Amino acid sequence: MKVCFINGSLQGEKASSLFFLRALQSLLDRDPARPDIVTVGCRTRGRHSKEDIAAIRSADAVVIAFPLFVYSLPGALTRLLEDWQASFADAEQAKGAGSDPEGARVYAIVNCAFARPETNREAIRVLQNFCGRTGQRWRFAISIGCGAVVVMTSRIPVIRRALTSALSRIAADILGEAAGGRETISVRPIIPAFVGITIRRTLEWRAARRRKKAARPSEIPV
Amino acid sequence: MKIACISDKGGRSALSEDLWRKLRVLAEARGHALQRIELDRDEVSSCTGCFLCWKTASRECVSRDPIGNLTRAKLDADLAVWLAPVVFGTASSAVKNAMDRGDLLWLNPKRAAVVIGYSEDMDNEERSTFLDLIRLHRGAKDVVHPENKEDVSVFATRSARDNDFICRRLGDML
Repeated sequence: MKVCFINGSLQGEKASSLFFLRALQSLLDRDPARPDIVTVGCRTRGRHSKEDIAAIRSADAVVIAFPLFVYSLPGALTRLLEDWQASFADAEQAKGAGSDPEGARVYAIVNCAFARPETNREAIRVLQNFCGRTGQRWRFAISIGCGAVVVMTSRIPVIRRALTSALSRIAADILGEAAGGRETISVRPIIPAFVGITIRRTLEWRAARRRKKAARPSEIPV
Repeated sequence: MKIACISDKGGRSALSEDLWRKLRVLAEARGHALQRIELDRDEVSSCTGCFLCWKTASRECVSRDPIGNLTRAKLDADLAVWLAPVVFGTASSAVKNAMDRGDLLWLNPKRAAVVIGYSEDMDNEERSTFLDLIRLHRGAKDVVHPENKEDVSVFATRSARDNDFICRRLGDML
């Protein structure tokens, strides 16, 4: 079983998406083959590297983790999907060389800054459309609200249980041990909604206040 | 009225050029100034999520690329029209990068925005996903942020006939 993780965040080691992928990786430890991790690029001239595309194309299961950007996939991840799709056209031109007979099983872990995981719904639909168009096998998604808060509070047993249970569903499905449904699993922070809204409004108010004081980004030395 | 049209250079097609031609005719007939800003997918970088555009007074993007330049140049338009090739139900990567980073382009309360997705082979589900992405999360019908007062309209086109319909609707708006 070959597994490939796609980290759709550009936040590097700080990325919540990477945290979720590593947590999933620890659950897949029974599988001797370590997953390949492909991280999207900030500025890509031409296409993503052949190695990245080959790692994705050769996988039996692909897990795509990403933060919600403007209610959809980040532009960088959209680009990787475009390149992935283009690789099918290339393979067809090369008379089927390297073409996927069955298509990989695709899972998604989407996290957004909003309290309600339902905000991720359209982004998940985009991935389903991608699978439909390229012949990949869509499985299911984990939809996480307040992703950064879930990461920060992941040591709290209730949160850890909810997250681990959701990730275990993906791990079991990858390893062929699951008989669960394919509906989206929602993981939300345990803070009440009004607390989340208050925190958000406070942060927005502080940001607005800082805007008046802070320097222009163009004046910050590069 | 000044209208800025932001589009994907690599995503040009017969359909997009037909739409652009009709938009130009419409704008000229109404006496509006229309400017086209084309984005090349190889030249625009992605949003890194640094949030500096949110935190600072100028709302500029720090990246030195065409979108960053656009935010620094302060887009001088009353209406922003996004011409987006639709891939899998979302905008193509070049336009999506601009949407991700164009905080200034989107969130100017004085400026209205029109988003037009186009693709000859867009299926019904992709079309519905694209429309929902904007309708449910932007503009007056926003269900996620009901307090959001952005003025955003969205259309999806698959044919020259759809283009005619969109231009008629835009003609009513202008």
